[in-house]
Amino acid sequence: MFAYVVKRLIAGIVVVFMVSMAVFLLFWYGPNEPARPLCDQQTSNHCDTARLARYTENLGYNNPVLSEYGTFVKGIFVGRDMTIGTKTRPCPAPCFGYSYRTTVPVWGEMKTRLPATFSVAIGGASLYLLFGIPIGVAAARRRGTVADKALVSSFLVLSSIPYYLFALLTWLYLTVIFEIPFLSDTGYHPFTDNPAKWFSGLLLAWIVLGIFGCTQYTRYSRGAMIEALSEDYIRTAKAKGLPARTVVYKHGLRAALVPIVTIFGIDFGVLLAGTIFTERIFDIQGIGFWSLQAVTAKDLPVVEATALFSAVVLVVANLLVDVIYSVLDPRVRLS
Amino acid sequence: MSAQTAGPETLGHLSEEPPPVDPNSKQAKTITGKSPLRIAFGRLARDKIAVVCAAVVLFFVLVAVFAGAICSIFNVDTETVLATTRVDFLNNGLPLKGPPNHGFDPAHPFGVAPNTGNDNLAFWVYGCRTSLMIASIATLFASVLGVSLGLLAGFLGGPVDKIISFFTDFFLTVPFLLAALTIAPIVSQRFATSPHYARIQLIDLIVVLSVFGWMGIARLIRGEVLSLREREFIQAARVLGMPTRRILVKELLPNLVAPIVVSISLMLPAFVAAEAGLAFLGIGVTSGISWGQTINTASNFFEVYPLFLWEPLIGIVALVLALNLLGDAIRDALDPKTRR
Amino acid sequence: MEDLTVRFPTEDGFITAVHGLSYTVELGKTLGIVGESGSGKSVSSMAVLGLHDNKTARITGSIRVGGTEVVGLSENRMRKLRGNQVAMIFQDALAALHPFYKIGGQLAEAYLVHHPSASKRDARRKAIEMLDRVGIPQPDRRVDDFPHQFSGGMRQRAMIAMGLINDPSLLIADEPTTALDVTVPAQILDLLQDLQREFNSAVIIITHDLGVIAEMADDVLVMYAGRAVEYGLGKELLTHPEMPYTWGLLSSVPDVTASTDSRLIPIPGNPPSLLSLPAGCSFHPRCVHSDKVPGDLCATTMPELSPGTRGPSHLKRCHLANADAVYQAEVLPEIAPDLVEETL
Repeated sequence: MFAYVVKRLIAGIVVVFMVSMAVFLLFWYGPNEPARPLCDQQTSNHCDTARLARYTENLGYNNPVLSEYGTFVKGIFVGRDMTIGTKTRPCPAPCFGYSYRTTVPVWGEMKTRLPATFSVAIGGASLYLLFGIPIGVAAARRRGTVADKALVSSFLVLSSIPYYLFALLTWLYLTVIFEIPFLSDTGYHPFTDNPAKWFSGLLLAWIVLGIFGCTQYTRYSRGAMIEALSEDYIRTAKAKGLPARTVVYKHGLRAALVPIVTIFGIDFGVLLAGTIFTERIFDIQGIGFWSLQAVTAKDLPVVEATALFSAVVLVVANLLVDVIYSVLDPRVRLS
Repeated sequence: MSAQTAGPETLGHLSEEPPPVDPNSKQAKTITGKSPLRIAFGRLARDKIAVVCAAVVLFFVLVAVFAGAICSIFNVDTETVLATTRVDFLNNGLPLKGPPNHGFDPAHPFGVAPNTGNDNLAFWVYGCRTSLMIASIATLFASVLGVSLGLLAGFLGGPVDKIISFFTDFFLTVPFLLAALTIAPIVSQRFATSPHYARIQLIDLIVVLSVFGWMGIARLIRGEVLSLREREFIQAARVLGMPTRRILVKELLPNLVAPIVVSISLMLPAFVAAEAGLAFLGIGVTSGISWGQTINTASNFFEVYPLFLWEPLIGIVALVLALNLLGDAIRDALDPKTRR
Repeated sequence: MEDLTVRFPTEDGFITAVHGLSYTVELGKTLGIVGESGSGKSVSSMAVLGLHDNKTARITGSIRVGGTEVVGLSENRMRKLRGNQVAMIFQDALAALHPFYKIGGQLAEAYLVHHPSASKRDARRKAIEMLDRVGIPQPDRRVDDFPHQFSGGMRQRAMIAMGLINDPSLLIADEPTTALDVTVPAQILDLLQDLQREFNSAVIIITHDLGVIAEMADDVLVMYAGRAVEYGLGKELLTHPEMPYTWGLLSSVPDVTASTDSRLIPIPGNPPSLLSLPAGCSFHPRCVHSDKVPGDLCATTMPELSPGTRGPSHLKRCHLANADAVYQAEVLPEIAPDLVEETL
């Protein structure tokens, strides 16, 4: 078990390293004038050749790429000093550089935006499971009935509609057209400032994300449950004289949970890495919205940092899924 | 690193394997003397939903192919010479004629866009073309990439399989939306001033979609090949000394038609949705015509001009829904065990 | 069990999986049920435990276990019977044991559900005791193993332990040895016999292996296409079978001790589909002796289950009048010439 985790951990670190390298190289070689956006920003669009050259030099683009990558990685662990324009500023660890747009350390701003994304992700993902699994289990137990068929086909249609359109329409109707009182004021208000506002600002996002996600979890749970309930060990459990509830939940759901949890772990990781559509549509200032704004403003350090952040979150999520999987399935754990 | 994402934030399934097989299946009656594909086609033709969906898809394909002709029939085009002749800037830039406030305008059957005065019908028709073009080219590239890598991994095995499988898992961990987001500013920084920027954006999109869309099909094919290559007819071909390339193309490929068709049926709607989604976020097509882009603009005018939003929205929903349901029907037809 | 009929709906209409089946097993005795796949062996015994979905399966007739009528019993009372008075052992123990729970837990669960007052520790002790009884070495350690850590034989032993943990009066073993390695079945069968003596339960053993029947069964029931076709005392039925289907089964069993002169004669054709049973005797299309029956009786009339030539303890469902004679004269020399010589 321990050796397995260590092995997965090493593989995860390798992937993070590869991603960081790829992202760094992409942002090194990709733009033909990488310092141009910063130069434009700092000089109010009066960036001439001499100024551009100075910014390029200060940002280290004239140094060898590998040594700059080393500086970048070192900055993440111990911090570094950065020269922006004429001033040299400290960039404490973990240093992802300075935002071109706002000239503040990227990590500092990221920290303020993480709670918004995490709130959306945790709320939405909880609804996935809270509704998806029970509905799926209920459908599996009634499979073939009219109710089951109606549920399966309506969920198939609903999940065939692109999520962002579903979310956009819901938002437009509930907040712009009907202006439903408690739901309309979408946005992120820190929990510590005003829990009620925090809740009402996120409620609609949670519901929309939750409903849409739960259609898929219903499908997974139903499929996994039908498969589990057709297993021989379910017949054994019945033959032992166990109550139907024990048979379905202790024996059936326990087995069906393994694939569901695996998919959920990854989905949750994706949500934590940035709920871009949700944040954009419901105007929630999280990581996803931030990276979108950064793209429009060509704020390269922010895009780079969010890409790295997402990669790390996803690798960690995958790692956790592998570990959880091996905990849930003794056949994996002990082999 | 083996599972994959399915949540809404990933824009649906870019790279998906068919869902878990539902054991609650009806037993298909055995019909002898027909190839599996023909049987599947027969089933499909009898499935009413599939036929309707196919008709809808066909409609959109025709619109996309004959976009130019449709525009000239209605005497509209995507160029707007003078916006002020069509919209009233004193009234939030809303159109002077036609919807939302002035009934129907025969010169612009779908109305015109606020502020820009662009003709909605022309933009709708060309948006359809963009959508289907990007989706189908990306599907083509992704399937070719996926099928070849899957074939190689499955057939050659050993270190080749290990490397390909590693990259499959690796790409599966990176949500394509993030990749597109990361690459968009670089492309725009580098090429924004280029006269071919619109074309470069298209290529960029197709590359991103293909590079992050091949994994599902590769895995599926690899698995299929692994089981096929132990079968007698492949063994026989090997014993006879048939060259590897010939075995792959002549013996294996025909047996892989079904999984390939299934993968394609999953990829197309995902790519259509993805293209529009990226354009909606402003990281896809920004200097061309796209439904997603129109939706992004139109959501600001929804209160006063809902039709402007509904037109592209219905276009995407109808196309994606029809493609998805058709794909579902194709999967059912090819493998009756997955029947709900 | 009397006149049990089990019908299932399918897309193409109802199928009758079991048709008018009757049998009795006494405590301490073993009934062997033989037949090909789909002959209704397992379906009839699952009905004893009420394991069929009562929404779809139509069950008529009567099954009494120790005086309790099972057919039409409420789910709740049925549940109290299951695993307590009637227990079942399934074919593939690896699939029949839950892969995610420890062996001991699964045994204890079976005990606890019928002994609500027992503590978890009691149940665990009972589980260890049962594992010891079925011959699992170091039961106090193995009790915390998962099924996949057991060998095939050990898993089947654990299944038996689970079946017997509540000291049932009837134990149904559904092909308990089919999924096992060659040398293991004999051990499992010995174990079953020992335990039966110890617990004095009635045992129904379902199999298609006549060797198992010969070793284990006091009574034998041969089933074909949902019906009992021959029913009698084990030894008598195997030496003087009176139904051509039983002859067919006997002639398809290889016998290592037999001389090379003996032949394996397969039964021609396949079992009929339950959807379209042939008119008359279900077996007649595959029966090579139907020409000895006058007229086309075999093709038109389903024979009744009637006493054979050796008296009412031996029932057969066949139109052949002098079945035993035909068997001795025609079938036996074909399949076991040595045996014929010995008796001569």
